[in-house]
Amino acid sequence: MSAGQIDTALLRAAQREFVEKILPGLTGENRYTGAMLKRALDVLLAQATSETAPDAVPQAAGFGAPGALAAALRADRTAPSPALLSALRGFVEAKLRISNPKFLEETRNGPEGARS
Amino acid sequence: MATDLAPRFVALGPWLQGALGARSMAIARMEKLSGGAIQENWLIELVVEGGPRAGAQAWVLRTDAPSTISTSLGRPEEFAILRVVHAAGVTAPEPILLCEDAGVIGRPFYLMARAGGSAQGRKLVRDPGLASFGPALAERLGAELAKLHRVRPPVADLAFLPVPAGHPALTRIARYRADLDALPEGHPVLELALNWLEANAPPPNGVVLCHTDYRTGNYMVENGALTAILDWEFTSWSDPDEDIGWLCARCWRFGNDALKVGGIAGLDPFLKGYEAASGRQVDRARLPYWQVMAELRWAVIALQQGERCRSGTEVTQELALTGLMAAEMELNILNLIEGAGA
Repeated sequence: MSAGQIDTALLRAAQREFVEKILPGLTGENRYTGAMLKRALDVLLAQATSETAPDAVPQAAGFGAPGALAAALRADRTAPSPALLSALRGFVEAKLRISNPKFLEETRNGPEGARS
Repeated sequence: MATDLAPRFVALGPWLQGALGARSMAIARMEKLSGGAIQENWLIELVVEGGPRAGAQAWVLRTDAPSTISTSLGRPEEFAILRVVHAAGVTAPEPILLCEDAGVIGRPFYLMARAGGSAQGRKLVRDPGLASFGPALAERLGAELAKLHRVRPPVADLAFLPVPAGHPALTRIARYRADLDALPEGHPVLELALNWLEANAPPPNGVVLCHTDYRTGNYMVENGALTAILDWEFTSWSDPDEDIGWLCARCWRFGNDALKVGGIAGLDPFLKGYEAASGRQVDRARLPYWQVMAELRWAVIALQQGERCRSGTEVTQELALTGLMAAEMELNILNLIEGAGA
């Protein structure tokens, strides 16, 4: 394993043992902290195993890196094209697949999700 | 029976006795209340002998938490707001005493009456009785907000609150652009939202006193009824629809997305209460605009919180995870903008 690489097998094992052996025994404020730790491990594992880096989505669509795109949008305040909206949606969905896939799913399926 | 106090509170009793004009006074209980990343709230029960507040009292002591955010008002300003809104008939906790002397407990603080019930939004939107009490609660929230919105500038006691020089929405947009400039990375969806908000700003409704954090989680409910509106630290002069958009934004429905008003009820009962008490017809077509503003604002706050962790200022997993929440608001923004016909 080279520097900077994440051992996903170790991360997955740590996550499973935390969820199965530690989390059920936590109470009160520790339970809340434990739930956040579980969420943090979920995010880290999703980051480590994600096939698409969110930042690559607008770049692949020809709009550049998110930072450059943000600066361009600040400079040029014209109405967005459908292609830009689509690229931004792809960017956000890629972030949510890592940070909160449940929210993404609920938004797609919810009664008001798509038009909140 | 007096309780043992934490060292930082040992000077509180003597100060209270003097401020209350009491012959004697004993703190029977003092307990930190849950919640409050920006402020600390302490339940304080005391027995007062003599003076205008004689008897058993249950109050809340509110002071700064170790970390605050830049847009939050100080405790003296919040106390002044509580006095104004309480006098205006809004169901806010009665303000009791203000102490600006940091020598008493280490920071300025104030005392207010304790309200019964709970403010836990996640619990409220999942209450089995919500279907029966939710509409009446929303109607009451509408009427309360209308009472607040009757307060208009100038108010001498609120001279510390800047009145927007121009269009309130454009003032907000300028502020959020500056907030984004202070973050290390660019955020294209939020830039897009700001451009859209600038291009689609509705004519101003006038400027009123806005709570500016009027949402589920910031009001107390007991047995399905409102007991107090809390957390006045972001109060500002603004467009009244800003408060309505914030209350209705998806990010404050706690997952109960079908109920637009804070996850507790649909829009109709809320507007019924608001319009009856204010005499102002709310233009429903404007609400998506202010919902975008709300989602944007929360996204900016989430990013600021995340940056506090990433920068090493305050390394907690809660702040890091809050930063990641911005993507949820970004998706809501895209849906709202596309729904409005971009």
